[in-house]
Amino acid sequence: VRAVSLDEVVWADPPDRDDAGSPNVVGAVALAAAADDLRDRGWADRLRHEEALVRAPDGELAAVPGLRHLGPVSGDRLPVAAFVLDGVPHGLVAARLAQQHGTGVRNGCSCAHPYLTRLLGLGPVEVRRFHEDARADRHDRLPGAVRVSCQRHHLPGRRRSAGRGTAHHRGHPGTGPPVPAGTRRLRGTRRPRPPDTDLTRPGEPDHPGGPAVGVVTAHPDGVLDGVVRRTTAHDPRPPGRTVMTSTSLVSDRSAGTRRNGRTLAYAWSVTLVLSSLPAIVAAEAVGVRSAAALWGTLAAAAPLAAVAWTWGPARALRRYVLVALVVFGVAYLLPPLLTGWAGTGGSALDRALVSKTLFVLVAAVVAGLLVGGLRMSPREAFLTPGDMAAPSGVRVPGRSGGVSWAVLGPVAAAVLVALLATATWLEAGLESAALERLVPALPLVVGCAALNALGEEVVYRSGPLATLVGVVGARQAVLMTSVWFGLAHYSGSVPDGLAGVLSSGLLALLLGGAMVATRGLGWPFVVHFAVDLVVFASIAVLGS
Amino acid sequence: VGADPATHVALFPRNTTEALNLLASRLGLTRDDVVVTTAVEHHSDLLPWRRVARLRVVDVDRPGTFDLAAVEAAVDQRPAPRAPAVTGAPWSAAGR
Repeated sequence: VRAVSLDEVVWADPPDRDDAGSPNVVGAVALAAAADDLRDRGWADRLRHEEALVRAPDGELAAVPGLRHLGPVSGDRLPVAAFVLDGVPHGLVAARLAQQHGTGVRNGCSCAHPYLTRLLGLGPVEVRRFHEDARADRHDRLPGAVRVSCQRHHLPGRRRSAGRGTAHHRGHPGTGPPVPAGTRRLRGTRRPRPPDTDLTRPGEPDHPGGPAVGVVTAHPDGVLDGVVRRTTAHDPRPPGRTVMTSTSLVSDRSAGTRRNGRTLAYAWSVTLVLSSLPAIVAAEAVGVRSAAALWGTLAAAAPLAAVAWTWGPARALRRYVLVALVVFGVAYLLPPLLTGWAGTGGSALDRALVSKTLFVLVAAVVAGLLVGGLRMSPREAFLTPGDMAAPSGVRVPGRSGGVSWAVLGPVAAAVLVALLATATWLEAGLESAALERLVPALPLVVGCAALNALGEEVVYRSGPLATLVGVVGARQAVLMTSVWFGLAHYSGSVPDGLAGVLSSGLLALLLGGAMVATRGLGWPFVVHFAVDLVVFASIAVLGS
Repeated sequence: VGADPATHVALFPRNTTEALNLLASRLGLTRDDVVVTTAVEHHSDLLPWRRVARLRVVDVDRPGTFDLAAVEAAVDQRPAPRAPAVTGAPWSAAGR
């Protein structure tokens, strides 16, 4: 300011005008100190360290089933990673990492809502709901991701064997982000653990900086595990001394499993009852006709389905029960009708094309039920191609980082086609006439394969997996849908019997694994299509 | 750092949010002026500019990155922007 009277002011020019009040001396001194510090160690060293920190969370995050790493995952980045974990609200992941593992992460949409809504793929309707929820203080419904960040003073850790309850607690109970409502099932009852001196270096004080990287992994039984990477603040010791520990994210694993166990048991019951298993047993043991057994199964399934509306542990599976009922109808009650409509004229492939076309229309109705009836977004319902370059969890010895589905997908399709085609060729007797029969039928073969693969992936995988994964975990969900899919091939398929169940079940494990890893039906469709190409080609050649 | 007191000014505000608010209000922008920015910005690099000028937003592709060429195109577009407000690293790739 240059001059002030009670009714006039003559303003100074910038920068003086913007330096009013006590100057930010601390800030200026800190800036100079930071500049000195950065200059002292040399840039090459710093860049190497930063590169190590960038890579540190990548491998860990890639190994977690159901974890979607948001934003750029390769190229020039800073040591920061944002992710979402299927079926676990971001606030819950952050709260557990903070309170049980002393790992500070940020969650929510932070201070970049337009960016985060894009990373999360929210549409205009979801953004409007976000704003309404924010206005109404409905914190538990706000969208978001979890972000881990490594700082300059952090050191990439060395993994130590994963033991339970070894997290070094440094969080303050009650200071974590709000835990969303409706997630009590996952909340543990054990209090945060005290510091574990076994894994703390002798005489080491509580680090003021706290650990840097908190990573969440899923346990084989679907229970979440938190892996805490212990890093130290301003630690002069070499990186090799840094310790990494792992603990159960569900603080009391047995209690979590027990509570989950009833839900899991119910999910398996619904899956098996609404599969072809009862009809197989009825036909093999009692000699009941399969059509009668199927209608009997549906009658028996009605009270089982009602349980989801009356029994607490089964509530979370309501959407799956509805999908399972629809899928059962589509798989076992509809085909006789479709075959009827397809008529008896033309070749086997002609009839297949008609019934597969009708089947895709049915699949469209199922997709409509998922999106319209169950209010899932197409991405949530695994109806979009998904992230076809998602990590597969497969590792090649001697290579850092896992194999992406962009590699595994084509390899799996090619290997399956090669194996099946060889088998078919041998069965056809290696005669050139077989090829002559195949060529004119190729358009039909391609059409049938595409329609069948699309229809089956939507009906038998997208629907069941999308409604199961968030409740029973990716591993159990894939297992259930694969057992169901395998059993469906006991009769009426090539091969049938136990061989049909096993081969189709194994294929379903691959396709289901691809679907939950890529969050879409792109690779499951492509691999299924490749397999079906050979299947329909063999029908054209062998005429069965 | 090679600054010339005749053409450069250094201020020491308390944080980046304060600095951006200060800058946005000090550049003498009007509602008709255009500021080029991106969809990945921190709120502090969106809201101060939005209050004093019009935003021309460069959007992101599916993995959440924006293209430098798109920013250049937005800068070259008419009416010519008065100021760029573009981050070096967004939320998921850099601490803010």
